[in-house]
Amino acid sequence: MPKRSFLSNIKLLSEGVIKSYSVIFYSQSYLLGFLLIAVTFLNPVTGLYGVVSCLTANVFAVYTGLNEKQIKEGLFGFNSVLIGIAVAFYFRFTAYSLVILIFISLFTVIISVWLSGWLGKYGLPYLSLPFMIMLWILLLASKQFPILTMNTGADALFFSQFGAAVKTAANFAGFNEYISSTNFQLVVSGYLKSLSAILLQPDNFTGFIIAVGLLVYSRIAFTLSVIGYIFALILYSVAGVALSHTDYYLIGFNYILTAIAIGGFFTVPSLNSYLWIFFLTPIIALVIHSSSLLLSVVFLPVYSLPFCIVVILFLYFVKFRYTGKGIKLIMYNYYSPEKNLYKHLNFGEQFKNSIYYIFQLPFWSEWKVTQGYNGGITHTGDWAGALDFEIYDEEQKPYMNNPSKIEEYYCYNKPVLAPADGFVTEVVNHVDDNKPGEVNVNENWGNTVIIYHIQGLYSKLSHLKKGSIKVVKGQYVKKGDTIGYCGNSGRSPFPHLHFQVQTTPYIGSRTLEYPISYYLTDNNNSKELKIFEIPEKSDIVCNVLKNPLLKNAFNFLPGKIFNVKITTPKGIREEKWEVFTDAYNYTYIYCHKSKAYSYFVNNDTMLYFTDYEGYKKCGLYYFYIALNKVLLGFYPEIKISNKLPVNILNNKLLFLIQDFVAPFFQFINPIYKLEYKTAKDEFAVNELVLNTKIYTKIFNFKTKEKNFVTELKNDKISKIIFDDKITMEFM
Amino acid sequence: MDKLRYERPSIKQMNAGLMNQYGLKTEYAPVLDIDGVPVKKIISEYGSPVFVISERQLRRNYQNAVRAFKTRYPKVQFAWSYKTNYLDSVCRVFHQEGSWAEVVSRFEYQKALRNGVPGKKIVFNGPDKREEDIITAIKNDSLLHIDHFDELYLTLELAEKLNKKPRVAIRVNMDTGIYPMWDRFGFNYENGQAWNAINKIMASGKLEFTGLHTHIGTFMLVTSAYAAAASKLCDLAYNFRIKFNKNIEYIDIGGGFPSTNTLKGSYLQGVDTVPSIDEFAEAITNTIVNYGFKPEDLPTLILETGRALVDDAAFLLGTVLATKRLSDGRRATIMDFGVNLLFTSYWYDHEISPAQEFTQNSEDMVVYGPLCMNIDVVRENINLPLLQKGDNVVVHKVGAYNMTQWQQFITMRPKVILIDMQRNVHIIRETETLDYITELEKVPQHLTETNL
Repeated sequence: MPKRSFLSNIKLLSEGVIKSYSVIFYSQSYLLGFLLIAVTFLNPVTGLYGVVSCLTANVFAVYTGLNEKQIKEGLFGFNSVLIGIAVAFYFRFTAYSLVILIFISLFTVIISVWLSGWLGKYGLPYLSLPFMIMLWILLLASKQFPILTMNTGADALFFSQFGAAVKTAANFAGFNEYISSTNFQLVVSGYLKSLSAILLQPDNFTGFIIAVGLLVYSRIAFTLSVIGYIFALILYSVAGVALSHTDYYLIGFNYILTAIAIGGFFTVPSLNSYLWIFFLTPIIALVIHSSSLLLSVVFLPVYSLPFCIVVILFLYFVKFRYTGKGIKLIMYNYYSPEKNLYKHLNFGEQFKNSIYYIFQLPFWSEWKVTQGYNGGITHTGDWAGALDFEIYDEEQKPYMNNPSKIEEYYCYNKPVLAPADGFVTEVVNHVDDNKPGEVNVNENWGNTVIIYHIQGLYSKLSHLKKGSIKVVKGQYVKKGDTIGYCGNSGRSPFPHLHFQVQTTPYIGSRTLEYPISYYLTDNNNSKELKIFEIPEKSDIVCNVLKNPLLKNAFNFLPGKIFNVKITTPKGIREEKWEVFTDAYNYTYIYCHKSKAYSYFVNNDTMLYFTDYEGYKKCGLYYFYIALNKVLLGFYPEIKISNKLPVNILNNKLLFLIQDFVAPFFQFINPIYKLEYKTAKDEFAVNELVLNTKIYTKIFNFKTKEKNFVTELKNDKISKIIFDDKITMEFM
Repeated sequence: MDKLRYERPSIKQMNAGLMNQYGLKTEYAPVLDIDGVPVKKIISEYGSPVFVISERQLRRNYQNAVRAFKTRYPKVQFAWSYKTNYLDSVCRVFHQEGSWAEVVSRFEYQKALRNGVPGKKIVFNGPDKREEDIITAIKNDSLLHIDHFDELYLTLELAEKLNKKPRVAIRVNMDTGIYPMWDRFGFNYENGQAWNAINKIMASGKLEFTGLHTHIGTFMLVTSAYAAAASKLCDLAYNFRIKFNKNIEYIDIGGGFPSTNTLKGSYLQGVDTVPSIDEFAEAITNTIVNYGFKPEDLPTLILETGRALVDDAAFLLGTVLATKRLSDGRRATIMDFGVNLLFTSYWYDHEISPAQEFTQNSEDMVVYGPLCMNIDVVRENINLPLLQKGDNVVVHKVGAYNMTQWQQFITMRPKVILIDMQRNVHIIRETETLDYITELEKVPQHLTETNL
């Protein structure tokens, strides 16, 4: 591992420290981090202890070589911040308590690492469990160390002279009196105090600052915090308890934190996730009051324990469901519910398919689906997920003249191709072809090839022509290789091709419903592109034929460098982009100048960008928009369309409103449309033009279109012109 | 009840030859209608003789041919061979179906443009390309198939002059085991001429080398010849890839697929001996697919099929002018059409069917045309019912080459009609008139007056 420079360590440390604060509220915002640091300093001792503890933890994390990305995200620091604040809360401000704080801060990091290893393998967060564990250890042990003097009146320290002065200044406008004057205002006050109790200082002013920070950071998170509190309030008023009581501030935040976590941080914000908050509220109450009673025996506080238990249990439950119905988990967390949501909606289109292995149709040209899934004839029960294909002519018959000769059937003796790469695991090649109308139920599947693709994924092609199979057991076949010819063997009254995907390597295995990655349907003479769908009965289907120019121009191999000259009305600038692969083998283009990056997937049939992060004036941003989703086949009659994530557009007030209601419905929809212009050259080898239109749909109103014209030449992208104003030339 | 036909009695030699389990072969069954339109009605409305083209059959032939190739090979493009039949309506049916155009002269090139074919979808073949033709082709970005070195040098010159990089292919001739070997067209494969031409093209850097073309013969009755041709073109394409690290965009295997007409001198009927288009497709595509290209590197396959797509979609309807006995006692039937309209009767024993009911009696006869020329024989020997003056006949499979090679000789050329998919009849070429024929004639002043 290369040694880091001192300066870069300082940079890493400061980033880690600030985010250790903001991440308490699930954020990576510097603003919120600074605000939180500032409010802890309303009580200088609390502020000092927090910062000392946080710094200790981060220095320890950096010098023991913990994961840099996690350090940057503040994940090793936030429990230490909490423990720092707690030490300031429980113990007198002495040199001893400060020294002890350093040790327990280190220990908190160790507990964090242990928990992240333990829970991490289930993909679960450890939340503030390290803080809780450390606090209990400390409180239980402190009784044996007289050197640690307990704060008898914790409040005394709470409202130290300094803090009181600031608050008095803040209350100059009568904030505190005002906020306690009506019932409604009491509720507001309760919310603000609960919010600030997360930092162990329940107080209106602190709460107000945090609330504002939260609102700026995320509309959804703010909404969730209010909803969580209101649900709790309703529950307690039904139960006849006033939540505004001081005792409850220190437990009220459990509802708020759970609401943000379940409603929009670990899950995709949606009506579903909001409903779950409602159902979880009584459960939190049960956990709070039962655990506090249990812990009171040993004089320990519950604090955020109920939140940790409920969230971790719930996430475990959500994660280990068989199907992902209802509430959805976030796959990659951007530390912003809005971003998570918009990207999820976008990924939903793009990523839902990334789990599938790429299968193409096992033939050339257009075949008709004569029996689909659950076809009723033979595709029933365990074998429902199979497809039968035949070739029909324009007069809708499958044979030329004489239906009693198998040679007259169009599909008979036509090449059958490997649907994907893999090893041939089974070959049957000896079954006689039936005369039309006859079936062979003894050798049901007839001549068959089974191909092993990946662990637990096989494909089977059946009823092939006797003696026509060209592959042998153990042979590796590439997608598109001819493996044999269509026939009429087995339980096949008329020549047809049977295709199925299965999880086991046997002839006769049950089928697995599995989509074909990309194919075209040609129903009623209008071609349509299908992406990861299952062909339906009577669809006329064919494979996407790749175009060499598109294929080469969009072949972004890691290491490829784009030197881009950007001409804008304001002047000319140059950018250098490079293609990289990250640790998880995802590819992205990185702009060396603006540090923006854009993730993309190229699966040989389609190139699509999954993400863009960075400056929105960078050339890479235009590139990301203009070529968001490109089919690598040349089909002028097909339009590619896509929804872009809302947050990819420049922020405006309207988008703020969208943020509040985003979990329920999206009224702003940025739309991407791509068209292939007829190539100069009929084989589309040398030159090709792509036209991209971007517009935003607000309800049913369309905004002005933005146009991108992309020119491909000599196996490369040569130029992108944006609205005739900005030209990007690729050198 | 109709009045019974009177047929003059004749004495016929008993001939028991060529018997099979069905008795004597009867070639004739009355053909009363074409695509549901009665023959008599056509003749009464459009006169006799008249060419009839079935749009349904044209489209069906095309679709069958495309299907035969596309289901075996991923990238297939047909180019309609203009010389086979360049009536605008016929060409346009094929263009509507997606076929490009294959032309061999300036005249055909212009006709293709007129029919709405974009220049870049025109394949320009043939040994006769003049300087201005090549210039037009380059400007329109057509696919120029170079036939000989002189043409190659001219193209290089013009490319430089026009400062354009035309897309070219070379025509290759080769030994495919077929006699005669068509080595008069293109560059020879075996003696290295073709490879030499490719190298010259690549070395010049002025031409975009896109394809390889061959056309091994016409009315081919063996599929293996195509397999041999495809294999030799694949060799060239493969070597090209190795040497120049570029893929050949297309292989144009030309035309030459037979129709089901019976060639003269053939012992068996055409329908029984001619391989189907599927068999040709099988031979060609198997060769290319199994040659060893990567699936995505397979070149586009261009086909210039003409005859097999159009021959059986056209009929010639005619009328008996007279019958007579020849000196040797053979019966002779004189039709109102002859070799002037039915050029292909030099090559084929055309199938002729009566267009009305007839009696059980038949007789071997000679069928003559109306020309006052001894060569005007439509069939030297055919067994037909005893046709009488005024009877109508249908000549089958006349779509290829007749409507391009017919002669305005002694008589004028008749109407051509098209029966569309809805059985509507359209005139697609009018009867020629005296004015039309004489329009281009010029009479010198001193010959204007004739005093007889």
